Amino acid sequence: MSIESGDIQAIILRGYPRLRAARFYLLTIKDASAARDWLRGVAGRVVPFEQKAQIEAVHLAFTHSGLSALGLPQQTLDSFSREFREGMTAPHRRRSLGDHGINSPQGWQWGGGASAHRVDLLLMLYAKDEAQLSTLEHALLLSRLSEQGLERVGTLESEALPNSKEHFGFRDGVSQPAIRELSEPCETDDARQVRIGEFVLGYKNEYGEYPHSPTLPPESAGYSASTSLQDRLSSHPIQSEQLDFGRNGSYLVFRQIEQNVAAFWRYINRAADTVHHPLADVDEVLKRHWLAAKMVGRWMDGAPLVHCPYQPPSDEDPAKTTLGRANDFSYHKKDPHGYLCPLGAHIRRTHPRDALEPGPGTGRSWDVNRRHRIMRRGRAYGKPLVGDFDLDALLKAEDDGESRGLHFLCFNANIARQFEFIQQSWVNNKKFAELYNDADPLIGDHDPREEGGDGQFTIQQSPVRQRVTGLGTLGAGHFTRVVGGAYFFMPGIHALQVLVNM
Amino acid sequence: MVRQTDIALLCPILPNRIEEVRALLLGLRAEMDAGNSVLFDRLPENHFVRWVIIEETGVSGGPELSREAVFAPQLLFSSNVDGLAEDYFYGLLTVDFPFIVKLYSLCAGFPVPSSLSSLSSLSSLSSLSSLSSPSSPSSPSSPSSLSSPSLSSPSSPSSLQSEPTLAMKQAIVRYWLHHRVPSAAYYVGAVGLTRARIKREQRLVESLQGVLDDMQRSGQLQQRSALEIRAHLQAFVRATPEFWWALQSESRATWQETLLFIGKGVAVVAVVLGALCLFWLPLLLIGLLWLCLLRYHEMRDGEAEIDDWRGHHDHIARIAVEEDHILQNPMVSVTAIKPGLFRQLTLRGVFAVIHFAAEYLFNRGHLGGINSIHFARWMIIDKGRKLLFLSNYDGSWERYLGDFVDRAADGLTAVWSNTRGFPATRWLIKQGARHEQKFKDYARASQLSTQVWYTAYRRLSVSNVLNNAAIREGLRGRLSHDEVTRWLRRF
Repeated sequence: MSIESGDIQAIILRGYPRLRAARFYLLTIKDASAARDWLRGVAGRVVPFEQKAQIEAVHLAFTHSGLSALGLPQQTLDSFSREFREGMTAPHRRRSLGDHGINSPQGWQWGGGASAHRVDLLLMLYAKDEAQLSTLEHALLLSRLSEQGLERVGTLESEALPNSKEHFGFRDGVSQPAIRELSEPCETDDARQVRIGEFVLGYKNEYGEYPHSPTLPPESAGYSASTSLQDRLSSHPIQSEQLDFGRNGSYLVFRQIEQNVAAFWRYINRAADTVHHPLADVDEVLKRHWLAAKMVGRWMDGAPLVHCPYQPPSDEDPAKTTLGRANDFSYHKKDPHGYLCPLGAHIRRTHPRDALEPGPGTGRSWDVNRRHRIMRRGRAYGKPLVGDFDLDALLKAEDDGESRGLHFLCFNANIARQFEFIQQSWVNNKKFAELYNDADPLIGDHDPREEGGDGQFTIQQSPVRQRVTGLGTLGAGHFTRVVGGAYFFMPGIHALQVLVNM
Repeated sequence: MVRQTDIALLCPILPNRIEEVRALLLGLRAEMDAGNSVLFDRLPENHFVRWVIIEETGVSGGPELSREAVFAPQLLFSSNVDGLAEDYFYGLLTVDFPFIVKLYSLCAGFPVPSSLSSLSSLSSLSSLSSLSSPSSPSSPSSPSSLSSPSLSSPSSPSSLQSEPTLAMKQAIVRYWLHHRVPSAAYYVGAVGLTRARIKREQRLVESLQGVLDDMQRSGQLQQRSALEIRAHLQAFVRATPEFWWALQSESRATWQETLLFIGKGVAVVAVVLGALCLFWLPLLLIGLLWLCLLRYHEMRDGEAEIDDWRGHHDHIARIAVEEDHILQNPMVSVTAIKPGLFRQLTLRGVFAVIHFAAEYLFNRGHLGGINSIHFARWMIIDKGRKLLFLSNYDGSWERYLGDFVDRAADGLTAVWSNTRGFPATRWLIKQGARHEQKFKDYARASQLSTQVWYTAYRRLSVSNVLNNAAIREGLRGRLSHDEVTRWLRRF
């Protein structure tokens, strides 16, 4: 099946690296009729995948309550996925996502129980620079939201950090799934190319099946536009008597993750005194960089430990040169026991490549890996603690009280099998890779209230492991903290037209 | 080798008493959650225990459970115990006789005088609180009830708080044995490891890890060779009387047991091969006939279509609310076996194969490639009309079911394709569970709530249990350098 590139919102398949300015508006619908009028205008500016946005881009996504407020029929509302319907903060979901303690939604700035306003829709604005972004905001009448029947819950700024860094100082976004249908056939990378149905509804997924997709009855009361429903939407791939409202749409997971950069490097400073670098006479700064890299799985410049286990590559080293090389590795053959990249390192859990059962090192292992990928579209926010991410300065830095972190955004067709699975079964799972008490050292849930919840990180090596502890008992020193979040649905452009004409 | 016995009791609940049963079980659960009940901690031989009310779920769009003839609610008790069922039953009655009587007098045919049923108005918690404080005065012995020869003789309610008679206990054990349901197939993740051994090996390994931590802190790990590190750990165990048991072999099986095990396996294979050789023609014909019938049935069978998504999601939410409180999770699934002799025979044949495979092939901590199952079993209940599946697994439901699909789709399709509403299947093992979302929807719809669930080692995964045992085994004997290297990777 060909990709309907005129109907897919482009952000799902493109990260806009050149549109360095971005701002996200969280809005509540107060007056549906006025909001629909305004949304009709905005929807006309939403960028489809077939266009290459060079200057600016607009995208729209909705929570379940937002779709309900805009008047989508109950049957359609019920046919969305359970995760999306229940929302990110359902009690059992908090357990699996690790949203308790300091991550509890009660303390969230938006999307949680305590926030005053519900979030109905997300307006995502991208532009080549701040000036262009202001122009775009002006054109969208964002200064007069209340006249559009909307109320602003929050405006989330973003910050383009140099060299694709995240705030701890590591290069981020190195490994993104390549979409099979949009890639050149290439023998070697076949195992890594993921089918588009893992990210966009209406296409076959990695099981060769169509993802569950919300249905719209062909005779929907309330819909009023000159174009008929049938002309806008195709029939549902499974329930053919229904229209496919989800086609070319995607589920968007949004989590605002605050990063405590000083706490992270303070921990590294302290823990480094308890471990030993495998090479003799290593200076203290390299040793700290090495310990942090063990936890992440990459050096700060993005070079993977599987390529360079003892020190970051020098500028001439080929491992450093291209993004492709930084993503061009697998675990099983070179590092089955985690001697190079620890079994519990952040990148080895969130993307285990060929390390998983069944058949580590084989295509069967990759098959399983491809069923748990997400398309990340996050943006950092807040000024960096140390402008140039100089390691010496980071190690000495005190917390400046500023808030900074990551607007984690990702797209997936099945929240339960993709985002939630990664978060629960890999990131927060202390038994990952047959370990005992190791959650993700960077972002995992080391709940100190739990028995044995001290939080450890094991560094496999020959002849026997080292480990660092205390990841859970740092008090307020969790390196990351969730401060907002929600599940959104980003409809295809035709479905968006239907929605704003309901 | 101690065998982990699978116990399942299925007792019909008296008409209109189901809410009392539920209240008693939820009361016990609340006590257990609050850490006040030590009922199962007191029984040193049980691994996982649960009480589940099995009733019609009435999930619309589920695998047609609701369309079945009315199925009287049943109380399921299930446990995995070291040793014999009878011994365990007597232990259970010794630890909390009043609660057991209170609960089971709500079940049909329970051999307790009807006059005692007035006791059900007593708070279930009183008996439990007496457990948590064994010295409390609420457990005096009453000579009158001890000497009471007949169960049907009228007894005063207070006799429940006193020592039960042996005859009473025997009657209850007989009742339970009568209601015991055999497993059609039974899988054990850590074969032959008793609960006591699992717990003491965990203490051992934690201490050994502590020794390694000390070596790490003092810089010794960097300087020592693999053999020296092992010798250091061995010396620690030798110097710690608490762990002397670890230096002795706790062999998995005696040679007689091994011989019997192998003999049985060889006999089964020989009988099967012999039958194939002797009667190859009739068997071939039967096989072909079976294949034709299979395809006929498969083409005729429908699969469940969920039309009420909201009802389906609400049902899942009720199940999910009980999940992910700790590392391990319970699963209870009831499905309706497709009617007719063909499916009955096919299902029983599949179970015979799985049961044999679980004992002879999957006895190293994985079931068809899934390494997160502590115990699992299938039972055919309700006069052959329903299939009951119980398991205790590590990690999330999504991972467990994902493993089913990604690693063991053939085997589980062979089982569940004989039940109603299962995703369309070809040749018994093809497709079926590979329809990932339909299969997961089917599995979710078949699940029931677990009212009481107990685990004896809540912080250990199957992998941890087996790794601990291997660490302990590796403390003894002479190992080559390679073996020591591999052994040290286990830490």
